Amino acid sequence: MSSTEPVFVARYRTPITAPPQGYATRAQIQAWIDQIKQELPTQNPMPYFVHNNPLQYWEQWPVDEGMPRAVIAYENTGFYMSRRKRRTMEDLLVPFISALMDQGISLWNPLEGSALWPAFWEYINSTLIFSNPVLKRLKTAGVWARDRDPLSLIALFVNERVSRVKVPTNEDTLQSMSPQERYLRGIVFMCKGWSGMLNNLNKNPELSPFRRLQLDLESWIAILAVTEWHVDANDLSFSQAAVRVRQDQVVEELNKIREETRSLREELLGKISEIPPTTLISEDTAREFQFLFCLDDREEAIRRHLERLHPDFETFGTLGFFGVDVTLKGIHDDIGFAHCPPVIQPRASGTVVRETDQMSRRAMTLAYIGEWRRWLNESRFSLFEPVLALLAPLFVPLLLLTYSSPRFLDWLRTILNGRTFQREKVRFDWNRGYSLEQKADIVQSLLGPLGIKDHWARWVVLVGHQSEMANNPFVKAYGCGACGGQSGRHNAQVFCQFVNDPLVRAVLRNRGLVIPESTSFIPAVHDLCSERFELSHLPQRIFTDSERQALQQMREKVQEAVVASEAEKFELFLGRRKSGMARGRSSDWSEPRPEFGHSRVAFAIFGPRSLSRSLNLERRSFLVSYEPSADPDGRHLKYALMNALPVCANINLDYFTSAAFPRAFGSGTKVNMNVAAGLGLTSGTKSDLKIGLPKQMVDYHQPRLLSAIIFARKDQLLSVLRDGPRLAKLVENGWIHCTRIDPDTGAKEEIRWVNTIQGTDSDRQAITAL
Amino acid sequence: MISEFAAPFFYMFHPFFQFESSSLLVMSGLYITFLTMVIVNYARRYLAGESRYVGFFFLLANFYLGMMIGNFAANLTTFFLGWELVGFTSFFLIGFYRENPRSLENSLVALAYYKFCDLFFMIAILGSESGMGSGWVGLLLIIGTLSKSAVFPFSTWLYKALEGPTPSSSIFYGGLALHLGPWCLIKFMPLWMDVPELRILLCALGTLTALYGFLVGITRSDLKTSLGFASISQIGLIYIELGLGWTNLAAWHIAGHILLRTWNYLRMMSFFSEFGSLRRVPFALKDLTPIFSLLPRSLYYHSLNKFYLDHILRYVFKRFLMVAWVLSTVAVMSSLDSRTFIDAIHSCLIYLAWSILALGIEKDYWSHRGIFFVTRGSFPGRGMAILSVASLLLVAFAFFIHDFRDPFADTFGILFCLCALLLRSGKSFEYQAALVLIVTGAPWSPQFFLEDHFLVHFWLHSKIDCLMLLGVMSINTILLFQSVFASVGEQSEGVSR
Repeated sequence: MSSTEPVFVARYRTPITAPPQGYATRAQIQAWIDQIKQELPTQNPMPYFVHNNPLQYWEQWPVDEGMPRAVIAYENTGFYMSRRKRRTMEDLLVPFISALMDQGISLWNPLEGSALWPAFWEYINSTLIFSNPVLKRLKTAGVWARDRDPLSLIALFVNERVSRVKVPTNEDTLQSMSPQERYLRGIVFMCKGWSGMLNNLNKNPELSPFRRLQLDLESWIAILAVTEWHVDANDLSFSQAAVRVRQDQVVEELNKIREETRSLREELLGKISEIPPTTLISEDTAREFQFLFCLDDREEAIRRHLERLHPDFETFGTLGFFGVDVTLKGIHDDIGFAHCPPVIQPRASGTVVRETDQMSRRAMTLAYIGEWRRWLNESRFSLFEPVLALLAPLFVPLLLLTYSSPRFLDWLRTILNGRTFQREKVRFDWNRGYSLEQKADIVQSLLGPLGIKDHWARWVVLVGHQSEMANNPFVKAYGCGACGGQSGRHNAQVFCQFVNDPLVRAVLRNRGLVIPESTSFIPAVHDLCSERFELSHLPQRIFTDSERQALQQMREKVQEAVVASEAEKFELFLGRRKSGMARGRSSDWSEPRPEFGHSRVAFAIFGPRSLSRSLNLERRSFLVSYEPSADPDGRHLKYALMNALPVCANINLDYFTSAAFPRAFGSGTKVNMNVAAGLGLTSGTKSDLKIGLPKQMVDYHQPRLLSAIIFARKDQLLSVLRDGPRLAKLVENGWIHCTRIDPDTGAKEEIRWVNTIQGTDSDRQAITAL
Repeated sequence: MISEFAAPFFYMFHPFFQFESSSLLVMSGLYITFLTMVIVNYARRYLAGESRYVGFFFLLANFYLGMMIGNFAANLTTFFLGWELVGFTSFFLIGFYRENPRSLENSLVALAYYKFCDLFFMIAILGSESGMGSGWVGLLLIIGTLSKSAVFPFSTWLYKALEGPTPSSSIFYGGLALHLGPWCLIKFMPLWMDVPELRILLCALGTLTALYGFLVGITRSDLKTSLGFASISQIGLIYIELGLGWTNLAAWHIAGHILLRTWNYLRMMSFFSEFGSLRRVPFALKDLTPIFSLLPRSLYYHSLNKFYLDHILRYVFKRFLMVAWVLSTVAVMSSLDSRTFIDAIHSCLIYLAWSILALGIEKDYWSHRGIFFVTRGSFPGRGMAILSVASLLLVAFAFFIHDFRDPFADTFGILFCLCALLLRSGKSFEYQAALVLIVTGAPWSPQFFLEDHFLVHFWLHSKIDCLMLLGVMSINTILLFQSVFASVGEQSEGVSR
């Protein structure tokens, strides 16, 4: 064994009491790796996509310091990848790591369950050389390297590489690092997508549901280091540090955006202060319909139009999962998905049984058609592929025609599905349900902040939202963020079941929340992509004819508002005022922008609707209903802020980074994307995994930092912000700009510091009245 | 005799270019039109907002033109015109994202494969014109179709070619372009059908291809690659059917397989919408996974490495084939220079130059060595250097003929002469329908000038090469324009005669 070892290895084998001058120790390297683990992209695999803040690690710094740090860490790796290195990565490592992490694309995969380090050496040893010099050198290295601890190998290669190559100190922020750390960072961020995904799957094994994986970042870094060395030990290209972006460029860009954010915010605050203070107090008139929408910025338009067209309708905004933290699974599905914000661990789990799952004749027909479609879709695996190919001319032309012309498809769907499509009857089978007390908790914490004391309407409609779209890998990013990218439809249904339950109402009455007997809660769903509004089926509830009629009329009225908001949407983004575009876009295979997502998002308003009713917010604002007068102890404020504000910040910063710094955080164009390993996207057949949002998702976005406008008492707000460590960081470091409006006086003030005790430290407090 | 280089414009007036038509060919022409229409309709929205939006459709239109010419060609020469057009549009679409270096590299790899087999195709054409034995022509023709259809030894370029926009991958490598090879064999069946050895060869190649595509395909873990290898295995089956003489079945299989793959590629991104609700297909290969575990594990690693096919080919090319191939080209050229079809020899040279260039770039010579790369490394001798410099000059011509010179000659010329043919011919309705189909596929655009694909590549790697090339090109432009204007009168006399 020793004869194959490089000469320099012996230097490290001799026991040394103190490491040589300037050499990185194992402990140091472990510390750097732990640091790198925090900085790597944390994006989930595409099936579990939720908006997260790619800069979450950098939130500990003020925004004008953290942002340049992050951009430089992602873009200037201090590592120039030469052509040979890139090709070795692509030809040798990407197929291997992709096969190891694969979630069901490859058919034959004996790597399942293998640990990364031995699997890599088995792969290298079983591969024939065929005039591939890199592979030849790697095989030789394998003889002495494979039985070693990955960490010690990293130490070996990092120190040796750095001692041979002169690492220049550049003027960027990485200059404070030692050459070893810069080198380590260079090789990891060379493939930040794969490294980040590996790290993420290692931390959260539930994100790879179809495969047991044994991955660890240390082994992966060791693999990268060994490979990088053996591409060409004398290749000095690593010394040509790639400074692609400088700190002052980032700061300049950031300052420009902050200035725009500021002027936009001041314009809005000016409009708010024009509202006469008397209207800020909510009126307590009983109405026929009240609507609970998701706080989503895309629901702002429909709420505005609904109130404009029908002044007797009242709308509220709340978290779109309606407090129901549940994992739901279709009866035929392999896995279930959590229908709640990603920070919450779902307490309950259940199975959704659709009416069509019962084997009626129609269901059987549909099942057979589905079977054919599945054969067709998976034909690269099907035993009958030649047969399918021979039969294809008989029916595929129709399918191709259908899916390449959305209008034809839409027409076909209306004929085939009729009305049944709109009201799918479901039943929930609970594997792990809620207790009565828990149900009451859910209802109370959701309805409390709305501040409805005794003006409950006859009907309260809970509108979950979803985005049905075809052939879009980012489909989860368009779903309800509060439902973990899923549809809010089932959450609304479950919530209505709870709140209509007399037992739950009795418990609530004991707690002081009185909902009249006559009030009924109705679930509904608003499809943001195809712009449809439908009432969902409510299990165990039979409506009389007059009720049915009233609901039908209500539905038609809401549909008017939906049409108006749809037309407004297309005028805003495309400059064309035309209704009926949305349905086509939703079912269109070839549409890279089925809807516009959270583009333009800039505000989050926490307060009663009276604060924002008279404003045209142009789909820019998250709207959360909060009534300070009904909240003496600050409980409701805490619920609203703690759950909603991080979600808002994540969405805003995900769009912000992908739009403002696309080279560092965006994923490029969608047009040549490919599905790799069932987890992520690559461009073409082999590349680094893509992170962030694609060009097509953010090209209508104007990057703005989030401005939160909170209508609350000062002591309550500060105590809530102080309780949530992340909220305090976001606000204090300027990632969110926070403006408080006093409910009693209407005075506005900027919240900069939250950790100091209010009123004692006046110079740090720096609360400036506007 | 520069005018002989002057492109398809004049080729179209040449008596060698002839079209035929039958109800089957009109059917397949309509079929091609339908699929192109689907892709155009798809890409119209899918590519919206891309910076080279117009260029994509220009290339697609040229591809359609090439497919149509190939479909309706009455002889190998005419077919070859369409065949080349398909090859070049394919090359440009692989390199569509020129800011991505892998995209440019892979386009050159594909071009190298195309050009290698095109040489055999050229010799087959020359042979058929000069009365070579039918068996030999058939053999050369079969070899000529191999690489564009990704048949066994020339398979691996296919998955590298999937770097372009998904709609173009769909129609080229899932759909039409991949099947142009077997379609050519069906069209020119008499050249090989009566020779049993050739049919055995087809069967053998088909079997190898099917096995190879299947084994590699089941181990790959990304969707586009596994679809690519699944296509390769089906192509193998089609070759087997051809070898067995079941040409009707093969034609039907081609038609069906094109549709199936187009469908698969276009709906690929629905993968994540169905994640977790992927109910198992009954009787799918997935259920046979336990059987695969009986296979030796080392076989898995070999098939993950595509059985080293591209390594082997590169090795063979480097050591033996390159030299043998160059020598045989020179021999063919020198023996044929007294023949009437003199253009073909020039074309031979051009294609040789293209291939050398492509292989040279593939082997990384361009990045450091400049144009005199052959004088230093492992290549034999100074003669090669002179040859390659000469071929570089010819490459410059090739640029103009196929890309740079003027788009009007390329597309307008064909349009123009087809209209003339259409009006002149007292042919059947089918014939006229075929011509109309061809004519409608030839729009043009100024974007053509911007397709400076090679220049970008050179600029990235060596700025001096790029400048030299530009110099050569501008000199040639002047020469070419002079000669074009001088020879237009001459050529139109030829038509009226």
